Amino acid sequence: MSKTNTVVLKDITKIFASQREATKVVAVDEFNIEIKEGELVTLLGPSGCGKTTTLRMIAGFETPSSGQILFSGKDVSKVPPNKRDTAMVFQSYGLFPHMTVRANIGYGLRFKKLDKEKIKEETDKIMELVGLSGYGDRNPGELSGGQQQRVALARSLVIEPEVLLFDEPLSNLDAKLRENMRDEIRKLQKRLSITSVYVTHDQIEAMSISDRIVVMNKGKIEQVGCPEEIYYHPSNKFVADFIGKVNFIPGKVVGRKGESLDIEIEGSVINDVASTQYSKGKDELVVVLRPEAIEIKPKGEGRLAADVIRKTYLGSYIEYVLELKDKNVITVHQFNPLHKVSFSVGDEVNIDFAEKDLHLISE
Amino acid sequence: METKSDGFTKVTIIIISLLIAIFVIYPIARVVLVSLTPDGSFSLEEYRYIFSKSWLRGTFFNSIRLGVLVATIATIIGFIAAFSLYKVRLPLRGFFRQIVMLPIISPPFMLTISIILLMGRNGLITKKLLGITTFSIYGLDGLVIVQTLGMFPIAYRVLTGVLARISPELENAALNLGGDKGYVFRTVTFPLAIPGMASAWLLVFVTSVADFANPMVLAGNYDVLSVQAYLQFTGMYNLSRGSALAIMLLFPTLLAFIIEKYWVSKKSYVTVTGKPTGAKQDMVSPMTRKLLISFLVLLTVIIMLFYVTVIMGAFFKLWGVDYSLTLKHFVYAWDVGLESIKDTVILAGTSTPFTGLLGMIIAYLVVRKKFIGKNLLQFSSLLSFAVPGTVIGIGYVLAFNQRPFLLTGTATIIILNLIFRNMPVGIEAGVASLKQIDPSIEEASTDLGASSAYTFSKITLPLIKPAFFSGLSYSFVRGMTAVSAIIFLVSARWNHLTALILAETEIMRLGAASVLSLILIIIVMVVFYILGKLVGDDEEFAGMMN
Ligand SMILES: Nc1ncnc2c1ncn2[C@@H]1O[C@H](COP(=O)(O)OP(=O)(O)OP(=O)(O)O)[C@@H](O)[C@H]1O
Ligand SMILES: [Mg+2]
Repeated sequence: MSKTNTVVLKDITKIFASQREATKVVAVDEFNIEIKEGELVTLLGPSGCGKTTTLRMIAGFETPSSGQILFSGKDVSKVPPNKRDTAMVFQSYGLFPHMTVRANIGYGLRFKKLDKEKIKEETDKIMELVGLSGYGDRNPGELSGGQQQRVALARSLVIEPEVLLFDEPLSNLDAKLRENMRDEIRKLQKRLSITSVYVTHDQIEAMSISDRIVVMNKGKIEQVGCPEEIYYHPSNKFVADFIGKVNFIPGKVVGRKGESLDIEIEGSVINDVASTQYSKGKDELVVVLRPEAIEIKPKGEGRLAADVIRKTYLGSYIEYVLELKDKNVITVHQFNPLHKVSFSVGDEVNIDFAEKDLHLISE
Repeated sequence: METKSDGFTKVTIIIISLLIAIFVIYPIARVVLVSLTPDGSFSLEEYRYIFSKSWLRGTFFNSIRLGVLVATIATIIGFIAAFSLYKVRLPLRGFFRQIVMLPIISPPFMLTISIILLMGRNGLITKKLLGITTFSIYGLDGLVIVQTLGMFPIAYRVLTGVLARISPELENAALNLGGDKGYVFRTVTFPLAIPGMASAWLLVFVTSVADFANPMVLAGNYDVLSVQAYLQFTGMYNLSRGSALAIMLLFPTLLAFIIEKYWVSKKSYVTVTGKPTGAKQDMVSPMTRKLLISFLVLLTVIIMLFYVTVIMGAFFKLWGVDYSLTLKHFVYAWDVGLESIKDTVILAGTSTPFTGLLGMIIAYLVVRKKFIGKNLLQFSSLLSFAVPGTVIGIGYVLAFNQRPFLLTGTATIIILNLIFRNMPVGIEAGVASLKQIDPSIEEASTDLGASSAYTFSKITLPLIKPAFFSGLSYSFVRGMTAVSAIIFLVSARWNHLTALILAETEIMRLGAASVLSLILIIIVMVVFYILGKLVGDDEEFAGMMN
């Protein structure tokens, strides 16, 4: 099957007008993205930010208030959901409880004008692929949560849709199973090279599964990028804060030498911070520093002075909460702490970090 | 999740709206119109006349008084029964639950036959046991007794739904926080049940005011609207006066219905507490439990007494005079009744599948689809619940006695009437069960390429099959026991068993009336059993749907 399965959302806005009150909810606001063939793009954001609504517009269950949706260059805005070549994996799976696993999986093939033989063949193939061989004659009610999830996945995969849609497909599974399924979904998606949109509010899941992540907030896109970009170069405070733990330290530009800046934080100047933006004097900046990029050293050895105000042992690392001179509170993660110098609450310490780990965003 | 409608759905909506307009709205409109045009031109003369004559005016207040009394007593009994059977650990719970529902499947005025046999002029209790002959059961007292007994199951049903949904965890929590059982009842269980009681009260009120058959036989001099409207319309051929009385009957019932639907049921917060659950913790003291058991036993004895009386009535030669056993009532009933029995089964049987299907389709549209005029459709489809049979019956005669809808005297008019009168039963059953089905099941089907018609028939319908069949059973019962509208529509060619029983009762052939009532109950039970068998296999996945 070779189609150029791209998905383009152009200026998509969705406004829900609630009938009783005269209020309007802008669920999705001027949403733009181009998804490449075979790419898996994740919509990530807090609850109520419009992820599901966006997905349902792609599937055709909701009609955009304005904007266009293009599949492989063709406008599908007017195409009803059953005529759109999408397949959705639902959070609650949406399995047909009165049909066997086999009938569930073969359901979408009924509309493809295939003969019985062919349907059986395709169904068997996909059941093999997702590890459901032998379960064909059971009802969904007789399967475990993880197996039900596989049926839902197989049912969507078997019709080889142009676009595969996932709405928090793993949120009903326990942590361990979730990781397995996540990797499996990614493997299958890559192998079959199906263009996919994946909704989650779990940042780890998003990081591990995506080619690109769209971070959303209140219906708007905050940033689009590959997981590393989003993590290391968040374009604003919301994104930085939403993805992982982060420290924000106010800073200002005190000098520029070519492509690097001198930044003052906490009264100390840090030289050689790479950046082409920002100039001296004018900008109030925020320095983004991840907890694992900071090292704690005995007093007098690092860049900035700090007091230890809390310490939590978390297994693979110790989380220290420190207070800097100007009362900024930061978090530091000390990994593999067993043979490292340990500090106690109340200790006066210094912190150190590499210039290149600093990321600058504007206030 | 509601979805937009496609072409097929739109056509369905239009067809259904048309049907409802013709068979629900139009007949009612005709009644209003005829009542306002006594001499062919518009005037309020008929209403003025009714209010100027105290014997006519009185019927209105009599109906209301009856409704209020019955609704109040029935709600109290219904609450105690529901509370006992759903919140208290009792022996024989299953048995009591069945007994309490028995009046629902009986012909509407079977209890009236019973009470006449027991306490009428030749009554077993009054004349035979106590030797009283001056006492008269005819009038308000008798009516209150039979209606209460016949209608408390309505309140009971509403209240079991409510009480079963008050999670025992909530009550346990209250107990845990230190309240004693009485206190928890007063502060948690009872307050949560109040909206349910209001619903129950209003529903019983509507049913009581709209009741025709019991007052027709038992009211004596206590004139009520439904009977008077019938007498004026059919007896006196005074179409406009009959219509005006029917409209006066419509007012209180419609009002009660609207209050129930749009106000009381919105006040209910019970539904948010989750799935129905049985009693986990006994909510009463041992003393109270004894009282409740005595109450249930008493109630059971009374209900049984009424039913046993009818059975006896069928076998005794001449009630009150000659208590020797005979089968002559059966022979007689066979002679006069066979045709009616056949007719009734045909009429109820034909209308039932249509009722069920129509109900399910409307339920589906209302729950799952978004379209203009949805609220109106929902309201008018439930309307025939609130509109007394008398009004609908008169409406059908007025609406379908001329071209293009010349239907009077045919089976069609009776079948149509049954379909549209019982449709709300199917709708309610469908709505309740659709709300239990995860919408993503249907969306998955659509998403995989199925049209909405395919999804409805292959996914939705099988999933709501249990509700569908229980809707079918119930609408069949209603078809078999309907009387207040049917009485206007029966003809020499097509008679209905209830009309025949009513006629036999009126001429005091109580033995034959008893036999026919029993036959009716037996038919209903057989059909219940068969339909129950058909649903049986589906319990399995019904459990998976919530
Ligand atoms: N049918 C609807 N009618 C009115 N408002 C709606 C409707 N569906 C969603 N909304 C609103 O639109 C906004 C976005 O909802 P959406 O379901 O897309 O959020 P989400 O990002 O998927 O959240 P979650 O992570 O909780 O699933 C919310 O404010 C929600 O209340
Ligand atoms: Mg969502």
